[in-house]
Amino acid sequence: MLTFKNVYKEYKGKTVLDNINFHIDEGEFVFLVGHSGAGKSTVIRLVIKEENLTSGSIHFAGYDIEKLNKKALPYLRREIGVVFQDFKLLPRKTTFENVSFALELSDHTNREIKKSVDYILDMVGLSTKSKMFPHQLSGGERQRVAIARALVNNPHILIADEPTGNLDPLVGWDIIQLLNKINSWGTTVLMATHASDIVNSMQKRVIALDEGRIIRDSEGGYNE
Amino acid sequence: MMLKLERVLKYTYQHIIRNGWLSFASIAIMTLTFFVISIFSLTVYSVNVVLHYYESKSQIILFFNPNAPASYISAVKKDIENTHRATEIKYVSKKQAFVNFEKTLKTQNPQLAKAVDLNALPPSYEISTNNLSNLEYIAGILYKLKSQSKGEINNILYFKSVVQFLKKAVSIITSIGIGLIVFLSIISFVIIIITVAITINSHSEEIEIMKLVGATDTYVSGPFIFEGAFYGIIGVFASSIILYLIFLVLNTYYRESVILPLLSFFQGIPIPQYSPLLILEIIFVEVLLGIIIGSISSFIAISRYLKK
Repeated sequence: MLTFKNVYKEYKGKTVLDNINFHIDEGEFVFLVGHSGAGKSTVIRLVIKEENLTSGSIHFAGYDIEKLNKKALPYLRREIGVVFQDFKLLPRKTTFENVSFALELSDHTNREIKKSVDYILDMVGLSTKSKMFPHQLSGGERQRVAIARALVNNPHILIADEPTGNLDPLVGWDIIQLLNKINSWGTTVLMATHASDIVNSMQKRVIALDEGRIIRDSEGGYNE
Repeated sequence: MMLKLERVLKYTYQHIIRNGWLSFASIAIMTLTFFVISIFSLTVYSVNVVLHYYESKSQIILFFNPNAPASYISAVKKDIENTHRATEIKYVSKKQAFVNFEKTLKTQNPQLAKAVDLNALPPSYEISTNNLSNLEYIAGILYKLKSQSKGEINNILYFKSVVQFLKKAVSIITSIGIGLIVFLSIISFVIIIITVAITINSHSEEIEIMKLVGATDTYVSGPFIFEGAFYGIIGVFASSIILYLIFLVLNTYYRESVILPLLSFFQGIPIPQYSPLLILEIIFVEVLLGIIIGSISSFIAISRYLKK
C-alpha cells in the first residue's frame, strides 16, 4: 500500500532523510517515532507531496508520487486522510462544514454528504457540536473534527502527525483509542509521535527514525 | 457541474458574510471607483454636448454686393451645396435684411431707421454646418471665391479665432476626460487587486488547508473570482444610488440656488435627456465593467498567490 524505496531528502545541503526503506500493508497500525527533527514530519510531507524527494521513490495505492503532476495531486490527497498536530481546521467553517468540505471536493450529492458527515460526527462523538466553529471547541474536540474530516472520504490510509502533541494526556489518550478503533475497522493508520507511553501501551509496529535514518522497524514498545 | 457551481456560490456567500469588514472595504473601493467614473463620464458627455451646440451654432455669413446679379448668388449657393458639408444655407434677401435692420433700429434709433435705403443693404447667406472642420472647409472655399470675384462678394464674416478656440477646447476636454477615465480605471484595477490580495492573505491558512485536503486550484479560486465580480456589481449599484440621491437632494433642496441658475446659464442649449432606458443601458454597461474589473483582478490576485 505505501512503499518508501531508497528515499533521500536534502534540504539546503543538509540530509534530512537518508536512505529510507519501508513498506506498510493494508490494515496495519504503524508508529513513526523519533526525537524532534528526526525526520518524522518530512516522511509525512513527502507522502502527501507537500515536499519533493531528492532521490528514490514512493509508491502509494498505485500512485508513483514522485511522478505525479500538479493537476493529479489533489486526487492523491483525497485518498489520504491526514491529521495534523495543529488540527488545520478551516477557522471560518463550522464542524459540519469542515468535515463536509472534504466530500464536496468529489462529486457527492448534498444528501450523500449529510448522511456521511452525520455518521462520522456521531462516530467521533461530536454530533451535538456540528454547528460550532473551531474556536468554540476544546483541543480534543478540534482534533476529533480533524479525524472526522480525514476519515469521511474513506481514505486508503490515515496519517496522523503528532495528533496528541497539543492535547492533555487524558484527551490525547482518547484520541489514540479513537484511532485504534478506526484501525480495527480496517483503515491503515500511520501515526508519527514521540510519546513513548502511548507507543508502549499499544504494542504495535514501530519505525524509529534518528537523524534521518531508520534505526528500528519492529513490533513492541519504544524508549526515547 | 451545477453542483460545483452551487458549492462555489455557497462558499462565495460565506466568504462575503464571514469577512464583513474586508467585504465592506472592497465594496467601498468599487463604489468610489464607479462613482468617480460616472461623474467624469457625465461631465465629459455634458461638456461635449454644450461645445457641440456652440459648434453647430457657429456660422459663416457671406455678404454680397447689393448689386450682385441673382445668377451669381445662386451659383455660389450651388458651389456651397456641392461640398455636401453645409447643414443649412439661409438666404437673407435685401428686403429681409432691411426688415431685420429696421426691427433692431426702430427701438434703438427710429430716426436712423427711416434714413436707410433698402438698396443700401447687402443680401447674404448664413451658412451652418454640424462641426467646425466643415465650417473651416467651407470658409476656405468662400475666401477663394471672393478672391476670384469681381466685387460681387462684399465681405465674409467668419470668427476664425473663436471657431479655433472652440475646436481646441472640444478636443482638449475630450482627451483629458478620456485620459482621466483610463487613468482612474487603471488605478482602481490596481487597488482592487491589492484589496483582493489582502483578502486572499487573510484566507491563506484556509487555502493551504483546502489544498492539503485535496482541493484543486480551480476549486480554491472559484469563490474568490465570484467574490470580486460580486463586489463589482454591488459597487456599480451603490454608486448609481449615491449619484441619484445627490441629484435628488440638489433638485429638492437646492433647486432655487443651484439647479435653476445652472439651467439659465446654459439657456438655449438642448440639455441631454436622460431617459430611463438610457440610464438602464449605462448601468448595464457599468455592471459589465464591474464584473470584468472585479473578477479579472481577483483572478490575477489568486493566480499570483497559487503560483507561489
